[in-house]
Amino acid sequence: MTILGIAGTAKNTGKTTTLSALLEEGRRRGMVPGLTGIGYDGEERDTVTSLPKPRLHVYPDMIATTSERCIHVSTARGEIIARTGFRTPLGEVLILKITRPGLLVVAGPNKTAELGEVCRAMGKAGAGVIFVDGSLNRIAPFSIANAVVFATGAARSTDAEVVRNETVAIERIFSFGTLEEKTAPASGIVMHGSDVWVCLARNSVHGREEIGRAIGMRPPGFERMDIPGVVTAEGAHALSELVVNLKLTGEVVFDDPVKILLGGDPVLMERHLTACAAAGFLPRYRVRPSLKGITVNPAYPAFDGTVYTPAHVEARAYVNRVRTGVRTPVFDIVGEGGVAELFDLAVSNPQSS
Amino acid sequence: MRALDRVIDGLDIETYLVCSSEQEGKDLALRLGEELHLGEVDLMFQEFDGYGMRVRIRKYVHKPGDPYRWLDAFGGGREKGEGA
Amino acid sequence: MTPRTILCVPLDPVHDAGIKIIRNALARRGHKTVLLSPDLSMDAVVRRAAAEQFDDILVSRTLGYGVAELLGRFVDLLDAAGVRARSRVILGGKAITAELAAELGFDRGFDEHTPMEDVVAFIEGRQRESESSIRTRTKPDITVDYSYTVHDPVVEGYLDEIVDKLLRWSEGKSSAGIERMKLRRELLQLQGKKGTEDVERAYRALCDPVIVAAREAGTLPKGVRKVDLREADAVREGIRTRSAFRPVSIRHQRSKPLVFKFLGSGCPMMDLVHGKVCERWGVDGFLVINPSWEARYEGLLDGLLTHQQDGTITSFENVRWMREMLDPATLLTIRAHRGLNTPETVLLAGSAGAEMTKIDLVYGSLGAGTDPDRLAVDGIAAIRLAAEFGMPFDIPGNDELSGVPAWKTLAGLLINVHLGRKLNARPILKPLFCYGPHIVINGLMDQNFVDYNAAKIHALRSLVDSPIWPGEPIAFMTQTEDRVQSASASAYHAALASSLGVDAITVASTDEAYSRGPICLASRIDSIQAVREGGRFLGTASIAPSPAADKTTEDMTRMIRETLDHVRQAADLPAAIRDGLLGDSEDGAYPGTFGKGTVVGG
Repeated sequence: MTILGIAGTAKNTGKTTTLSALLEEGRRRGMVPGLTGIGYDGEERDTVTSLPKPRLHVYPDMIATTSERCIHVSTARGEIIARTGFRTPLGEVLILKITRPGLLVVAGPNKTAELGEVCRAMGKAGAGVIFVDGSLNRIAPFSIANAVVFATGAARSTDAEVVRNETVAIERIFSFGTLEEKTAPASGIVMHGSDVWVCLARNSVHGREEIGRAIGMRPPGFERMDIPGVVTAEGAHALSELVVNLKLTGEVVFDDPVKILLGGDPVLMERHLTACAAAGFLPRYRVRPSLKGITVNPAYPAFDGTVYTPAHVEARAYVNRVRTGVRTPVFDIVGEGGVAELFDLAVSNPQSS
Repeated sequence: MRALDRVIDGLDIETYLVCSSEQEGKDLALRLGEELHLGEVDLMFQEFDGYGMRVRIRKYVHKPGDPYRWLDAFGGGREKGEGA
Repeated sequence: MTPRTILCVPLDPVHDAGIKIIRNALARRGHKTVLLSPDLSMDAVVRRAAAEQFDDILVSRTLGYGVAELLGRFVDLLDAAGVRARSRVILGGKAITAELAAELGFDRGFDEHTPMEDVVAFIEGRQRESESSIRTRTKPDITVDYSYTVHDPVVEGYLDEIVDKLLRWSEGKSSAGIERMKLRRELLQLQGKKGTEDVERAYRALCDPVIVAAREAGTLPKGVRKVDLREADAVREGIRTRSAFRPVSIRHQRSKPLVFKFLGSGCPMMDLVHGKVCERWGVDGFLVINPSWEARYEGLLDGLLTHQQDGTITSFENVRWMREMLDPATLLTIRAHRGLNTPETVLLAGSAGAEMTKIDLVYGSLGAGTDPDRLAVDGIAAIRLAAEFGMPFDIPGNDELSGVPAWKTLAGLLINVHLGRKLNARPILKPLFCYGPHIVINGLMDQNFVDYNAAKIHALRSLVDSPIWPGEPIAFMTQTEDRVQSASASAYHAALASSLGVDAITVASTDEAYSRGPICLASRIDSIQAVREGGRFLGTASIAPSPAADKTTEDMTRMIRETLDHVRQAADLPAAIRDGLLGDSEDGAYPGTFGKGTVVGG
């Protein structure tokens, strides 16, 4: 089963447009993908800016999830095939089999664990590929995806250089390797050497202090450090400094690239990890979704301090600038098309990177 | 669909008109309806105070028994999820 | 209830009053709360949340530019740190909607209008949420606490005499209205089965030509048309798929008075949409007002009908349609007392599920009303039907509006109450809170609008133990077409009603005084809002009448007693009405003429 997440670097970067285009491409190819989301999306108007937003069109036999209260406002019809017991502010999360085409307001489970369960249930119901709609800049639940498309653009920054640098950093963060063997998540920062020491309780956010303390307690023959959960930008900075100063070699294993992105500015995070790698202390992940593509949206809501108005940057120059130095294919879905290619990359062959 | 079609029944305009007499104020109030492309309006309330006139003007957009142009938006013309 | 451990996070350095209020409320309920300081970084907050076991994390933040992304990242951090798996994360702040909370990945969102009880209920896992409160309201019965005991033995003697005489007078008498009611009962039982045609023919034989034309040939009176199926479906669908968003309560810290509004635009669809909106704004019930011509014709129309003039046709289908689509706890009253179809209207109302009706033998036969003999005969039959259906009936004292002095009107109400009691029905006194002509002419309210209205209530209470529902609407004749003046007048009178502890009130709209067009929904909401604000202002406090009110009460009680004494001496109630004992031509009241000479038998 393929779980493809559509993540955004900010609100209004075109996640829904990308997803709509992929769904339409799927319909054209006679596929029946599954659809869920990590929040509430597909609303007519953006809940923050009040600007119109596209909505998601679904077609018969698709497996889709949404919250109970969204059913009334959707025009698509579906048969409830499972009630999940998970609740969002919009009611219980339901799994539907679409019986009549139309627009669907998608409000799926918004926690990683629940998303995983819902995707499993959707897979059992027959969805071979599941699209997971992102929400805002939220990415945490995508740690369970095996493929990710990032949507970025002028809503993130009207300065193409800023977006390019960030995209390069994201691409680089996704490029570090995975462990050969599958391991369970660590229960704390684990220091491997001739001995294995568990340093800190899991479920935390690791900053300068936690990283410093763990490294200070490294066992003899130290060769690997597992850092579960989130590492902050300061934590990553401290790590790179200590690695260089103490001439540490070996590898540092994170849960997944999403946890790195959550730590702070991707440009800074990438810089610190690359510094570790350059010093011979190689970043690795337990699991890693493949970064399949980048979509760039030149339109954005301009804010004058009171109201948002639709605006856009000069598309071609902006998109081309973002492309510079990015190896992952970059698409301007609305301006240039290319959805078939994106679909091939993201859906038809999701496991390769 | 015009936004005006969504006015369930009547539209009130309340304001203060600068005028020199009650009659002038009334004339202005009725003209205001024309200028706002509302057609004929009713003057519900007026009080001239020497400087101008406080007015409440009403335009009935949908009277009872009319075909209601908001009806489709309220409940019709829309398919529903049968999971409801 | 197991106390919960709650982390309160003011992510907003400025607006942290709200979360402190919530925290105090939760602490008072015995929950363990930790309030973080507003200057912590997001990372630090997440670390704290991860380091301890919290059941709930309450975050307050006012929405603004870039805040959504910030909150999205906050939720992501909690998720990645494993906190989401064991703590619920709740967002509160200005303009936070359920949709936004869902988009940001929170478990729940509350805005500044959310009642504190809802927040507490959510934390404690109880289902008390405003969104569902309309559905969980229970249907009130305002007559349940009353015995109808007459406190004054002299007055009881007068009332017994008047009512006994009336009942004796009515024995063996009937009318076309009563006969039609019997035929209608058969029609309702037959439901179009074999035999319907014969009964229908007999029914038509008792109708006026206008009604016969409609029933026979489908030629409806001018301005009346059938509601088409598509329209009805759209309204039904809209009501089925929508629900009241954050329904509000008008009353603050009090269970009384229930708040009623008129419905009678002419169109049941318009009425219903108005009604659903008013339910959301806290209205407890509606009085359906029929067109004035309906009262003048013998016989009623059938079908789901809309009417371009004032007054909604009280056909069985119209009433049933409205009853089915209003909230089950909303009370529906159907006016029956003015006109030639009084018993049949009560029958239709009861069969269609309406909760209450409106019958007044005295007011209904004054002014442009029905002949006193006819209404007495029909009214008694109607009250018997109301008793059969268990429907309380209210007795509006609106004769005061034509200039009848309050004591005569109140005496008339008491006669109706006593009649109702004797017939095992459940009557409701409806004195006016108004600035009626008799009051204006005699300067009875020159000092204030409080004393005289209070005196009416006190006088009635000193005489009988009955529910009291000032109407109709309150503040009648104090209101102008000015919106704010009208809303304020409603609010002050409602506050007085609340102070006096009456059971219900009828509230006007801010366009009630404007006679040249139908009532608009926005104007209804304006008045309700004003009444609600008045209720909030007054709360559990009271408005104190001036000492002069006691004297007025005393005088009023004495004059009610005198009026009843006069009526008692008349041959019967219709005769007393014709003789002007309950309002004469000098007062501005004339006996009605509709249906004159139509009473048969006896």
